[in-house]
Amino acid sequence: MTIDPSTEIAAAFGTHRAEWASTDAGEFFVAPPYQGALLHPSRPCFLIGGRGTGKTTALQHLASQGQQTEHLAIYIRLNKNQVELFTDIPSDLHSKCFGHFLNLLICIELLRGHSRRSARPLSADLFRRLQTLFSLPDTGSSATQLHDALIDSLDKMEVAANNSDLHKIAYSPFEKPITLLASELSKLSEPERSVWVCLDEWENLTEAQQTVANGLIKQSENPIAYKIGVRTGGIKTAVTRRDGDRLQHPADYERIEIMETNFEDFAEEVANRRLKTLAQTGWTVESELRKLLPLLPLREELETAAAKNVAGWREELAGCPDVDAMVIPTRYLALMAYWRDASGEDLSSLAKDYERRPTEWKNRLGTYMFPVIMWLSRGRQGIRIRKHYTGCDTFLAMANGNIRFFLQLVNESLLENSRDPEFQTRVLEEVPARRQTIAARRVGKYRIASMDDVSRRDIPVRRLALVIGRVLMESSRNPAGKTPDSVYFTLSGKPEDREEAISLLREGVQHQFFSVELQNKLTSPKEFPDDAYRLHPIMSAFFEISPARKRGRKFDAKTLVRATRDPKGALRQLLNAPPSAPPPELVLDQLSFFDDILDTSE
Amino acid sequence: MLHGTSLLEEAKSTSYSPLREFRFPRGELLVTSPRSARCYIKLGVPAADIVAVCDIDHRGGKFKATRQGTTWNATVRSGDIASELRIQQAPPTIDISSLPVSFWGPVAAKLSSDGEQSWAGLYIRRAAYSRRGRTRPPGSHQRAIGGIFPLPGLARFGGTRSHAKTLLIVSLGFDGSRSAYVKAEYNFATRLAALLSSPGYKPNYTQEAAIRNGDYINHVSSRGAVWLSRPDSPFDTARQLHRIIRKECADYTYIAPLGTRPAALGAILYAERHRRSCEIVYDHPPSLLEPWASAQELVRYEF
Repeated sequence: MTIDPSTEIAAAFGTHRAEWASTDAGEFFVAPPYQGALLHPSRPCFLIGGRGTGKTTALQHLASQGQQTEHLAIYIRLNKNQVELFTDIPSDLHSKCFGHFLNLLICIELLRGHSRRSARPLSADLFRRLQTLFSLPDTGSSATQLHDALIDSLDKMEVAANNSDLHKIAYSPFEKPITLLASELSKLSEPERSVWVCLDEWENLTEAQQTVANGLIKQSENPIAYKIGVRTGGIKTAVTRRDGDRLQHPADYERIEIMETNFEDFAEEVANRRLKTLAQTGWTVESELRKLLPLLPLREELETAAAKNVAGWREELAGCPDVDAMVIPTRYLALMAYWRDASGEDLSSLAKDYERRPTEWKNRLGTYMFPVIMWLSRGRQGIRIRKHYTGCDTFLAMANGNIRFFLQLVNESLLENSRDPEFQTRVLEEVPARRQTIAARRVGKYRIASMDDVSRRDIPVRRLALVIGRVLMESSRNPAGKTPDSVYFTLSGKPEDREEAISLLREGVQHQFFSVELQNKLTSPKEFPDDAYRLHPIMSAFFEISPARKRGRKFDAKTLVRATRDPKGALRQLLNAPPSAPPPELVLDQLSFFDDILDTSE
Repeated sequence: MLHGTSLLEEAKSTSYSPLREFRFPRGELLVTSPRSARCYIKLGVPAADIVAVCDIDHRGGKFKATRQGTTWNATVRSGDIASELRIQQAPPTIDISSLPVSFWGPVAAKLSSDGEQSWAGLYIRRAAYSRRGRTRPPGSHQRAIGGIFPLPGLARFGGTRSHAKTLLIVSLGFDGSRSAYVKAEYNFATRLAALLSSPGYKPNYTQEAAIRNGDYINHVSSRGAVWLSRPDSPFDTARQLHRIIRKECADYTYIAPLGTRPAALGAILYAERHRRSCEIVYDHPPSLLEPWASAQELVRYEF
């Protein structure tokens, strides 16, 4: 059977989630930079990151590794469909129910993990005590029988929950059976081994459930250690069930923020490992991703974009006696023309200034190269690519710590290249700048269009993202009176409006439409800095804005909130268009795809 | 254990088109919403034979029922659904179009698993789906739907245990964001499958659903397959689910019935019969559709 080469590429790079690559997870696995902290034998830890940052991969790998090493590790996903069931019961019953549920889940998985890797029998005393704690009938003396009896208990709990009879079942004391079983399992090997319980998707728990589960972490001690995977913002409380007792960092647990670890090297290593896998299957491929995705330098791009206009600028300067226009490089001429548009100064005086202060102009060029390229594309109707998005470093910046986005960018680039009529089967050659850009733009479009990670309830957030993207796109092309190349924004306006806008933006951050950073500069001596938001850089190519961390600006919070209800009106306001002006063409070009989202005419 | 195909053997369906051909069987009780009750009365259903259900608690399963001027409170989470609905004496017909899935899903599952009483499902097939019906009301950014939580009385704990191979099957509807949402929440499934209604009620419906669910179908293409089923047949849905699960050899299956109501009925009944290895995943969207707005046909499924 012939396999389509693009299918092979997609198999290597398109499998962005560890959960999907059941057989290849080990082959593709690259130890993340925080692996050392995660592997601490007795220290609980919270692994915190957005979607796609590799939490599940790391925890699943830990659990699978635990099958082979001196540790016993289990992995449990806290599914919404299950934990949601406990949200509707009276609070006095809730903690008992949920505690019993956790006891059952963890003990079932521990016994299962034990059965897989060891034939050593458990003590009769353990059976007796677990039977008592779980109110089980005599289960005999095999781990399998005990495992089955616990599953029966879970099934009974399921029936009770479905029939509103949870008050009728016998509850096990919270955490005791887990400690008992973990201690016994630990002692079965010499030296005693650690028992790691990996609980993933902690954010699915309600505040009350986290309060119960926090108790597990607070009270855990050798040999048991909890390794928790949680989405950024998913920790709802640090309180435990004991009055006033809270989980405290660093006393009680290690906190690993994935975004603060060395993402770039890790991501590149992951991609290179996948290239190696392709090479092993007979592909001719570069061993390094950087060689496959060459960077088109901004300077080169600027000179190409300015080439058509350079003769005109030189002609303008020909009459200026103090300036030799022929020796001024194209890129500086382009910058002067841009500056003239922004400040109103004439070209000859800017050229003279350039000759007087070359260092200042060099710095200025470094800062303004991106907006100048965008400005040069103005009015060129039908132009397909105004700005290129190329190179490994650009893709890393666009991924912003999300390994899944990074692999998606690489995958789309390679697939785009394979669509070339001259594509040689099973040979991966470097991807031209144009194709990299088309791929990057497509990934950005997917981000909004596919609504990956979001539901229809997030239409307002997507409207907000589209409006802000459009404003930034416009600003980057038009230097006059705007802050070009600004990607970060803070909020101005009344506290209540800011609060509402922040709640929207936070929701957007959770779903990776936006990202957030604490402002590093005080806005005034009396004022604490606000969080600075930006569109998630994965959408940079789509909106044709800079993926780099650039300057900030302020948006009126009330207008942003308005964008969720009346995107066109809000856009008019943000672009400072007079009320009498026709509605702004929000749906120009690629944005026309999102008519459905923007349409409020119901 | 019964499998999907047996549903086909046990049941039959009858179509009434035009609507005036509808004949409600004597001695049966029709369980519907108060609003739809008026439409059924116009079609000749005796008012005395109607149990009108309202004030449904989508999460907790409580509801209020009325028949012949008598109103009582009940819950779908009871072990004896027939007495909750007071339908012990007469076979019920459950209106699956006018009532929310969070009500009729558990009722159908319990009536089906009891097996003591025959019952029927009644589906109002529409002539068209308006664009407006699929979008949420404009206004604040407050969440309009509850998200994923179990249908009352149909929660499963099996999904929390570790399974080597899990499968997510989504029965696709017109709203692509729903399949994307479910896929995002159940991204851990090792395999994906899509159940697409074909032929649609109209020639373009299948294509429309495929386009709107492009994101999900793209993912399916790398980790599973797209299957076709009839949009108006719960039996066909059950049969296809059985085939998919058998082919994928999944240890545990999550079924998201986001397509037509008959497809959802088939999925719920299938999951109920395979409760140890199947689970329904439902996203509880707001019900904005008015089933009688462009009603074209009534279809009755007997169990």
